[in-house]
This record gives sequence, C-alpha cells and structure tokens, in this order.
Amino acid sequence: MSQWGFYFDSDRCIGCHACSQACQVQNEIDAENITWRRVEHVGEGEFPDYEEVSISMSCYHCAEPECLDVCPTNALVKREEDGIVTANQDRCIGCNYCSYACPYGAIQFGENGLVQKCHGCLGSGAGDGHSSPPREESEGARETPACVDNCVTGALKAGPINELVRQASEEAADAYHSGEGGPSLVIEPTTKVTMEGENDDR
Amino acid sequence: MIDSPDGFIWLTQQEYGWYIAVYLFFSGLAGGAYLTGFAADLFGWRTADVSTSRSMRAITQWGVILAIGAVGAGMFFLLFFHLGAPLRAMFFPILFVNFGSWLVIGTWIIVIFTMVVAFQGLWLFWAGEPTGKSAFPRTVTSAVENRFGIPADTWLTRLASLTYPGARGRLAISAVGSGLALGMIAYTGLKLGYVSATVPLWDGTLLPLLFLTSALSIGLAATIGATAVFEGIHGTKITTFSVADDVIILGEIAVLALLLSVLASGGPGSTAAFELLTKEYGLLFWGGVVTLGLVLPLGMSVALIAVEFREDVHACERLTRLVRGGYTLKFGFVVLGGVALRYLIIAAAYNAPLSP
Ligand code: SF4
Ligand code: SF4
Repeated sequence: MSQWGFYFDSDRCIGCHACSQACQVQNEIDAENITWRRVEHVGEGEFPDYEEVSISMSCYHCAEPECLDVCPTNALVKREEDGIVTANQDRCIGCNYCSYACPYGAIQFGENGLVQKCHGCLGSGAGDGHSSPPREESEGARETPACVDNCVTGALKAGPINELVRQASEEAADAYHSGEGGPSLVIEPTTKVTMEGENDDR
Repeated sequence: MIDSPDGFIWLTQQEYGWYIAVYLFFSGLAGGAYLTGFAADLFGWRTADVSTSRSMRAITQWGVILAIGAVGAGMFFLLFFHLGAPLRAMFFPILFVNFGSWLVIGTWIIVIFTMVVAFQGLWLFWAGEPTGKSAFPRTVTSAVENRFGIPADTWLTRLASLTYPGARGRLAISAVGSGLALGMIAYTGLKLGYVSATVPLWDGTLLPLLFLTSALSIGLAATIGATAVFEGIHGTKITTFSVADDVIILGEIAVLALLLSVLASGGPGSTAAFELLTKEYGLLFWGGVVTLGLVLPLGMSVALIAVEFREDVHACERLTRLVRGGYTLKFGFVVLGGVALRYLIIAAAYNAPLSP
C-alpha cells in the first residue's frame, strides 16, 4: 500500500477559504456546521506584535487512526489501496464515539445522524468513496481532491505521501517521519508563529 | 475573522448531548443498586433473625427492581435519543465486530447483566414469598390473573420453580451478577477514559474511578432510599448502609479533588475544562455536584447519627418520621448530585486544541 496524504504550507496560505468551499460544493454539503475541510485563523501576540496564520485542516487519514479503533461496527475503514480512511454509512449506528477519538475534529454527522468525513474525493458526498476502486481506475474519483485543485497559492497539495515528502523541506520531512502512526500530513513549519509566543524571524 | 486569538486551534466538535449523560447516570445507578441489593442478600443469608432477614430481602428486591428499571431507562435514552441508527444497533450481535472497542465490550456486559438481573427478579418474586411493598411485581401479576384471567402469575411461578437453582445457587449467580454490575459501572468510565488523549476532562484513570465511586454511591442511595420510603427504617440497617455511603462519598471527594488538580495544572485543553467546570458551569458544579451531592449528604449523616446516638428513635413516632424523612432526603440529594456530575462530564468535554 502506498499511503495517500496531504501537504500544507501555512506560509503560503492566504486564508481565502477556497479549499473549504470547494469541498462543500464537491460533496454537496449544505449545513454550515458540517466541515470536512475548514480553515482556521490563528492569531498570537498583541498589536503591533501581532501575527496571524491560517491553517487548512481536514481528516489526515492517519496511519493508525484513533477513530477506527473505537468504532464498534468497523464502519470506518482504512483502505488497503491507498490508506484513505472512508466511512461506511451502512454499518454506522451513529454513536458519535469516533468523533471524540479523532484528535483533529475531522468526523462529522449529518441529518441522518451517521458518520461522514473526508474521503479524499474518492467520490462525492457523504458515505461515498467507500469501497471505490483505486483512484486511477475509478470513474467517480477525482484525480486530485477539489480542495487542492482550488487552492490558489499551492499551499495545499495531495498525493502519495512519499512524493509529498520528497517535495517538502527537510524539516517538514523529518517532522513527518518522526510522527509515526500519526496523521498522513506533511506540514511545513510555520515561520510566523511559534508556540512560545516569540517570533524568531524578527 | 480570528477564530483562535490565543494561538490554539479549538475544535468545534461536540456531539454527545444530555441524553448520553442520562444514559451514563442510569447505567451507573443500575450497577450500584444491584450491588447494594447483593450486599443485603448476603446480610440476610447470614442472619438468623427472621425480621432482619425479611428487611434484607426487601432491600434485595428494591435493588433488582431499580437495576431493571434503570437499565431499561438508560437503553431508552441511548437508543431513541442518542444513536443515529437505533434499529441497526439492535443487530449488535452481528454488527458489533470490533471487540477492541469499549462500546462492544460494554454492550455485552449490559446484555448479560440484564439477563442475570431478570432471572434474579424472577426467582425473588415468583419463587417463594416476596416481602414488603417491593413485592408489587407479584401483586400485579396476581391481579392480572384474577381480574382478566390471563394466567401470568401461574406461568411465571412455574418458570421460576423450573429454573430456580436453590438458595445457594441463586446467591452464587447473584455474585456473578455483581461482577457484571461492577463491569458495567467500570465500562461507563473506561469508555470515556479511553479517548482521554483527545478529551482531557476524561482522564483515563481518574474518570473511571470517579464514575465508580459515584455509581456505588447513587445506587446505594436509590436502593436504601426506596427502602426507607416504602418499607420504613425499622430493622433495615439504614444507619450501616448510610455510613457505607458516606465512606464512598469521601472517596469520591478525594478522586474529584485529584481530578480538579490534574486539570488545573495540565495543558490548554485541561485548563479550559477546569475553567468550564468551575466557572462557566460553576453553579451546577459547586452547587449541584459538590454541595448537594457530596457535602450536604455528609453533613446530614452526621446530624442523623447524632440524633440516633442520643435518642431511641423507634420509641417516639415523630422522631421515627423525622429520621426517616432525613435519610430519604439525604439519599435524594446524593442521587441528584450524581445526575449533575454526569451532565457536567459530558457538557464540559471538549477536544484538546491543536497548535499550528
Ligand atoms: S484525522 Fe481523525 S478521522 Fe481522520 S483518520 Fe485520523 S483519527 Fe480518523
Ligand atoms: S458513529 Fe458510526 S462510525 Fe463513528 S464510532 Fe459510532 S458506529 Fe462507528
């Protein structure tokens, strides 16, 4: 299996929400509180030492997903082909347990009370994409996810994780490799904000 | 627009509603009530005194009635308020395949527990002579039989005598039921504690302990409270049971204090939970959980024991009524505190924030 994942560079992200809106359209999500992908604006410090960074987040199709661990019915499945975690709505009983297990708030529930989440545009809409053939062979799957296609600055990318790691900075690659079992996300370190509240680029 | 001015990304997810708190409350109460009934069963088994043995039997009967009622109520809220697909959940024997999930383990514990309790109920009420007001299930079936000619009582009595394993056997099976009751109580805490990495409020060790002490306390309070209301306080060892409850409450206070200190000194998610509990929900926490559920019952217990120590309670009817009312109130407060605790444990549960 070659794991599929996302790449994100907050220095390039301008916080325009094009990705999250493309996701809503692609997956026909009307409800405002359902966000498979969302953009958060994080600020730190006080004026004039104030910096802001935008983060686009979604399900990261973790190597060892916590959500899948707790599900009583195995409604969440990590696919053999590409490591994408899909939701089988036909097995879900809507217990919400998975949404508390996921550290990234990626699990959502629609009006039917059943699990829905990012499937990397293997299909379109809630519950779709599950048990779909590999991306190359599937008619319903997009070549690249809608969010990535609509990102205006190239801050967000997707693909086989090895390729993403190769394109990333050394720091980002190291960070990815040290987080074994964690999210399939290559993330460039943000230079604008550090968690101690000191800006080291000034 | 800044969603996260403090440098953290707070996740919006929060899916459990009040009905999950109700479900946790009833599951805990069922387990605690059954265990209290079992303790009385053992007392009754060992005593030679006929009147004590009858009172203990009444407590055991209340324990079983409350356990059945509470499991039923919990299931009702779980299935029809909480789950997205309740009918699908009915197929749990085939659908629940992930035995590593606490939800699957817990479901089986509850199912087997319910079966044991049902048989205990059958034997207590339809094999032999049930006693006191808690014998009402038997009264109902005989009334149905006499009034409508449906032989409910005859059938149940026959089933009971066919399956009755003898006094010793019943007690042994009840011991198994008590193990399952403990398992069910533990499950409610462990299920939440399992995701403590994401939800700091649900500390993996302290939350199960908190739920354990609280469940024992509210189950005992409900069972002995019901006994005090319907059977009176004469010969029911009410003081002994009440003191046992006090000891459990002291343990619960210690666990709660520890949990608060862990939260207060933890990361941003923990401190946020601490603030939520003690400030935003401060009234319910300090007023409901701490004062009503823990401190007031302890205070009342001290006062009641002082009265019983000085006066012969059973000599004066007014005093008997007063003490009986006092105990009932005390146990009522304990149960209400348990409701408040479960509500807050769900309402104040937020995912730990991420840092960019
Ligand atoms: S990000 Fe959350 S929902 Fe996605 S695979 Fe990981 S734990 Fe599961
Ligand atoms: S809500 Fe559905 S997918 Fe999530 S843990 Fe429950 S059954 Fe599994």
